[in-house]
Amino acid sequence: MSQTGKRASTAAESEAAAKRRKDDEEPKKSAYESQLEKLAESASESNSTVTDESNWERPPFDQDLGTKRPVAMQVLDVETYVDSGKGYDRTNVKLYGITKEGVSVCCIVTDYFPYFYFQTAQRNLNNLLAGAIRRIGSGGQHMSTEVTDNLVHLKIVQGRNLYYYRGTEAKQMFIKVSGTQPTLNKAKQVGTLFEANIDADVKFMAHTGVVGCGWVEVPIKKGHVVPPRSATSRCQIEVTCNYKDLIVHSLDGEWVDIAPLRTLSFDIECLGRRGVFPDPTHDSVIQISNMVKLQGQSEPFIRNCFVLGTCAGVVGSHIIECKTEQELLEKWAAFVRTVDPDILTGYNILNFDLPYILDRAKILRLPIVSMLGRQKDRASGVRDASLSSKQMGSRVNKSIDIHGRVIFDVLQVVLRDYKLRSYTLNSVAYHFLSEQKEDVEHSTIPDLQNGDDQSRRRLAIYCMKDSTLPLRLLDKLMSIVNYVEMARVTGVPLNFLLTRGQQIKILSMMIRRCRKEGFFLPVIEVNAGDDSSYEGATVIDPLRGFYNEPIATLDFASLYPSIMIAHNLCYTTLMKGPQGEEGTDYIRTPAGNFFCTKERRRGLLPLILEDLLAARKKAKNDLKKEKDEFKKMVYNGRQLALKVSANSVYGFTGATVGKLPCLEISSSVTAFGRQMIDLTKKTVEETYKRGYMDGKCPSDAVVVYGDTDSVMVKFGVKTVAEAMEIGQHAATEVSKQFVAPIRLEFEKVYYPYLLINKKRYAGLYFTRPDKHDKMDCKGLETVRRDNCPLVANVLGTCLEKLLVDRNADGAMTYAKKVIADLLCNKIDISLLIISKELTKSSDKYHAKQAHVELAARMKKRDPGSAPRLGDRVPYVIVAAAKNVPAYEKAEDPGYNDIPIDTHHYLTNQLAKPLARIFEPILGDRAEKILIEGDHTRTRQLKTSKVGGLAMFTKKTTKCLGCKSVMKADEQEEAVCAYCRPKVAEVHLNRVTTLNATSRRFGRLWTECQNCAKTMHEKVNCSARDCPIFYRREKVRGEMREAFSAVMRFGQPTLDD
Amino acid sequence: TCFNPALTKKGGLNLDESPIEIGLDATITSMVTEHHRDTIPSKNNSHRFLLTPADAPIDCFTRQYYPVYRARFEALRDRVEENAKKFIDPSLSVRRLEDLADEEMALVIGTIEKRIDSRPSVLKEIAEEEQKIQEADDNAPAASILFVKKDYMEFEDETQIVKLCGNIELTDVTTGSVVGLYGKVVNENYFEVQQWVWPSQVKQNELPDERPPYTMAFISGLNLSGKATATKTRAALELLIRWISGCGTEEKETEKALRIVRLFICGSSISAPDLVAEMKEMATSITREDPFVDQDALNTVDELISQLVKSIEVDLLPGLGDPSLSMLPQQPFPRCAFMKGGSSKYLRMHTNPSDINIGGIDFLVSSGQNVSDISSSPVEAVTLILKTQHYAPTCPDTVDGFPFEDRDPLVMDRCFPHIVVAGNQSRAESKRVEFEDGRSCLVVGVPSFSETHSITLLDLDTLEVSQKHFGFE
Repeated sequence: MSQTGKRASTAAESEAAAKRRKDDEEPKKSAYESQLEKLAESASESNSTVTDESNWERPPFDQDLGTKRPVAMQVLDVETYVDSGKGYDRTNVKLYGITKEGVSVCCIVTDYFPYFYFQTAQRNLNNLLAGAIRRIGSGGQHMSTEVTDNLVHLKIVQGRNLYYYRGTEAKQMFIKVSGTQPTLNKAKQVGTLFEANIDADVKFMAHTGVVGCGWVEVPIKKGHVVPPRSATSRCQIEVTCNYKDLIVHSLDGEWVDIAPLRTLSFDIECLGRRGVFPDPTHDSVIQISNMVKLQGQSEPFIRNCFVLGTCAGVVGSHIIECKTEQELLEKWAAFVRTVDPDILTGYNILNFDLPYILDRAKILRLPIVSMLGRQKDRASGVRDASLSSKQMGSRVNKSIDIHGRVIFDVLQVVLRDYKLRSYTLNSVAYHFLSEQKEDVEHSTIPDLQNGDDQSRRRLAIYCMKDSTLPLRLLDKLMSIVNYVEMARVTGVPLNFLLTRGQQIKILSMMIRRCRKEGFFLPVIEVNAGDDSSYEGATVIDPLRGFYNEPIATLDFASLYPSIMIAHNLCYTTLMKGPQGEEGTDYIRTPAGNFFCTKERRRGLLPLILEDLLAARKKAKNDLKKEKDEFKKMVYNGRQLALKVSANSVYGFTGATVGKLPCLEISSSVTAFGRQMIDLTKKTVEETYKRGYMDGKCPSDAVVVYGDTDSVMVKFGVKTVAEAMEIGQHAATEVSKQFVAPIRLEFEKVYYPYLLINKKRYAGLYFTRPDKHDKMDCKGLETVRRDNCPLVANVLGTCLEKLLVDRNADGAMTYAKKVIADLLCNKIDISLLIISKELTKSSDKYHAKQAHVELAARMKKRDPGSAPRLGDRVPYVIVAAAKNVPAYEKAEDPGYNDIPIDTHHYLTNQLAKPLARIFEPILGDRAEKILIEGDHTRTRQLKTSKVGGLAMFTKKTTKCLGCKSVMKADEQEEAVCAYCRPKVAEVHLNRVTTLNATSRRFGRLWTECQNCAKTMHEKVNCSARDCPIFYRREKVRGEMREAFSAVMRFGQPTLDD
Repeated sequence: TCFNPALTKKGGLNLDESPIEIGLDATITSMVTEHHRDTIPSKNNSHRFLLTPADAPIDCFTRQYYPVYRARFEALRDRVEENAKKFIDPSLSVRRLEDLADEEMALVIGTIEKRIDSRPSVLKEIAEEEQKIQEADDNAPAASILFVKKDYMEFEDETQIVKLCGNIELTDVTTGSVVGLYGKVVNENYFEVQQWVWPSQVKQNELPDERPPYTMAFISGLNLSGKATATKTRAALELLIRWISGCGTEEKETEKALRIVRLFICGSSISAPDLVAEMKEMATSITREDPFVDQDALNTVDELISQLVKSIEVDLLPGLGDPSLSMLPQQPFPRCAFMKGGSSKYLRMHTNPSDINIGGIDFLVSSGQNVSDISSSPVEAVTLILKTQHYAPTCPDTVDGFPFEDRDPLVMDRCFPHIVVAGNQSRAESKRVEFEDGRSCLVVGVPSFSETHSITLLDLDTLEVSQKHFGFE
């Protein structure tokens, strides 16, 4: 039985639940499935209705908590604050967390003082100290020594600078300055500073050993429960505790668990004006939907929607009707305070929903609405925060502090972790869940809102879908568990993982280790303009080609971490120059830097990395042994977090705008890496000559490609099994050349292998001799957003034919056919759609851009349905006269019958990617063959049916067979007199087309009806992002044409 | 006597030898001797299946499918209520889900929607296609236990949707059935079913005691595809024509053949494209090809019909693959679709399904799309269809259907059939099934001729069903 299960049922058995408990005891089941059921049951039992407010509050807690029982809680949020009062100021720390029973706790940690160190050239530190203290004293003449001591306290301590090995382990003298945060900030103008630039909360956590999402315990008698009247927080229980009394649990055994966190997912709807993006100064909030779920359960236990105006009920959901917007917002804020969620989620709530509500509250002068956090006296505010990171580039996000709660925006998670074509909720849901959601057009929202209670109900259903999907995505991606584990592994609070860059995680680990070993982190001045770089990883020149034979791949496992461990590369081992004997006392790296050997001093980074790798090994082991599904998820998240962390240490040392840059380390790491790849290539090629291994090697081995940490070797064998045997052998042999723990591993065989260029290749991936695991592609632009889906589809099929069917001719024939079809206008328009996000209004773009111009044109046609800021604008490139600039050639794919610029698609979209995969086979002529071959001779231009000459054409009845104009007396017939003898044939042609079309019509529209998950209601979806949106709209016109043609053969009649 | 040069070799045709040109050509026709064959009266009751101008105005394809479900619901609601009062509690009245208090026992009526993960879906196909060459991603989510996709059922009344649990199984019903549920709302959005009912069944006419002493023949799934048609199938067809026209080698056979008064061809005379492949094609749909038109196949069918009508009355139903709009109810072929046999007065064009009374017996004949979509056992499927009181409950969901605006002609409202015949089934099967209040129905599954080379014979007098096989093996 899982811990989570136990928790939930314990919660259910608490007083309120006990009261409601029915006579029938639930049967005892052990299987996992019944576990989930039971969770749902117990949740519903304690709150038998979600259709009212009775289950909003957290279940009441055991009154002995804090007095007779210790308070053990999982730490979710940490904040430092200045507590002015009781004679002198202090900087206290608040820990917000949840107990195993789901009780929300605010723990005020006292008597901790932030600190930093400095070093001065002055000899007599004691004198210096005395002088300093005197000066502080004279500043506050009437203060007691206790007060001055606490304001700023100076102390001499022993320690070592993190940077450089100075040939001795002797410690140096430092002055430790501690006090309240504001006074510390003033005191920073002295000497060479250490650790003064590190966030107070991170330092507090490092100092006490508390990690993000870890468990801490306030022992009985040590803690003091604050009476509810004088509590400062909205948590169920508030305790104070001296920092020295706080017990920090290690993350093993029962403390692996994750508390039953409450996650609130919400979404708002605004009453926009036609064609304008909602603006909080004008547009009111009309609905807010909410889903609240407990960690570990699969279904939300609160489902509600606050609506403005009357609204028909939705079974299974609680509809809260509000008369005014003020009532709606205030009721919602009160709901949030009552539900007391630990995590707030939704889609883009950080940059849209939350700021909108808070801005709206300001405009309507509703201060209570901004009281969303757990601090009674602190409102939530919005400010801009820019974040720049090597990994994601720089971007500006809103920063919102909802004290004690974590904002876990699913959009931010997906942006960080996944590279996708589009990040709209619809396409993200489609990508991960293979599901679409019904998307209402902005312009229909006012109609629905201004309609009746049934139309508002419809709107409420959409709104609730938008708050359900983020929860489903979090579950599917296991984001909460994985982020919790990342917080635990790196030690930072959960919200840092989404609001801060990569560095803080490594810094947090560094500072913890440094504290343990007595090292101090110097404050490094960052020169923003200084972007000195170093040589990166090596890439062996690829021997481009299509290898229809097994290619073995040898990889260095955790290459950079193991280099750092093997060669003892660290800040603490870096030397300014050689000292002693090379080899015994120091090494000289291939980059020309000097580091002391581990016999002299073991580096800190290697220690950290060793711990991370060992911990990952353990987590993987635990994962294997664990039976409980929830704990398995936790261990999996942990091993992932450990892997990611180990791999980012190297990057941390190389970040020039970071807290602790040390290019000597990072350039040495890459230099070792390059050397190793070259050595591997040399060894393999020299050893595995023809006849080696008792003749198992049929020819001399050739390294066809290598990149960073892997080399691809052609051993000349015919089967995957042989390649695996030799590959395994080579991995073991070559590994002997390297210092432990550097190890070359044999992982996979590619067969066949299409090596296109540096960083671009594809192949069938084998880890077993009999069957391939997958088709692996690297560097092919399939996810590039400015490609139309046709490119990905054609590339996919060509690669499949090439690699899986091993039919190069077939692949080429297919590619040519697609090109021929494209030029003859036979490609489905939905495959030609390109989309770009409209990020700013047109006058703010420097150069004219196709999608911006199109959006402006669409706005002229219909301001209601035109794309707004932040929307993606889908478009196709249409044929136009020669001198028409490119940005005028974009058109709305749904706009009438538009002539496609097929040539543009061929040369700008298809040609390059296709040529690239055929080049290894055909050589440089590939592109020429593709775009100039015989298959490109026939072209068909579609002429527009609107505008120009089209308006002068007159509609006449034509023979369905030969298309000749029908005579006056034949108007009612299907075919002309000449075609009458072959009318059956003509009929068959027409009806076959009709059938193909009707099949599409049926499948597409029932798909939409299914996706909308209703059978009695109309599908109101306008999701232009959806791959079937244009198909489904288009098939209606095709159907009309095909159907009316067939009907000309006569109205069907019955025979008796 | 009959003579066919292809049959001279003892032991039948040697099919492995060079392909023998067995065309359904004039040589055979000349060999068919004229025999007398009786006719029996029949009445076609399928008018409601015809598309009227009101059903199909020029913009009818701007419609969606929900009106069909609404019309179906409206047509069956009162009949469900009737049965609920009869079988559960006469004092029950129908309630709406939105008005129900928690845990309140009540009767609700609405449409069943099965949410099945394996339901074919264009959207899923496209997603798979798009992710075919997605780069390997180490962070790709592993199997998440909180994210389980299980099949379940939903139920929709006029305004609300709930999930179903309790005393109702996925296999009990089909998507699109209108049923009455007695139970209560639990767990907020679940409806716990205690008892449930089908719509009341339409009345069944008295089966005449005196039945005509004749046989009817049913054939389906010729699946001709022009030149690609299997030689075996062509040969079997030859034999069929000869036999049915009374050219049996034995007198007993001739007599047997001549007792057949009507021959029903129940759809898929022309090979239908592979639906699974087609679905996939639609998903990727790189090109909008002009669909492949098999003129040869049509000519062969035309030839076959023109031969058959010389000796027997033929009833022709459109089916999957045939040149008729594939949406149910399928419309009769226009006579111009068959140049040779189309104008014969012995050829009757039918809708699919077809509601027809022959010799006082009410038949429901279909080409089987509606049946095979529900179960591989025709008897099981038809039994469910009859309980549902709808000829094709899964249409338009998984069987293509016409987007009607204000009616659902497939609701069973005329009479309860005595005999239901479904073509193109995976196996021959027949069984008499009993229903409410003494209603009973003989269910006949007709297999595909292209697979079994056999036709199904139904003795109208004894109501016995048998298979007649044509082949050389």
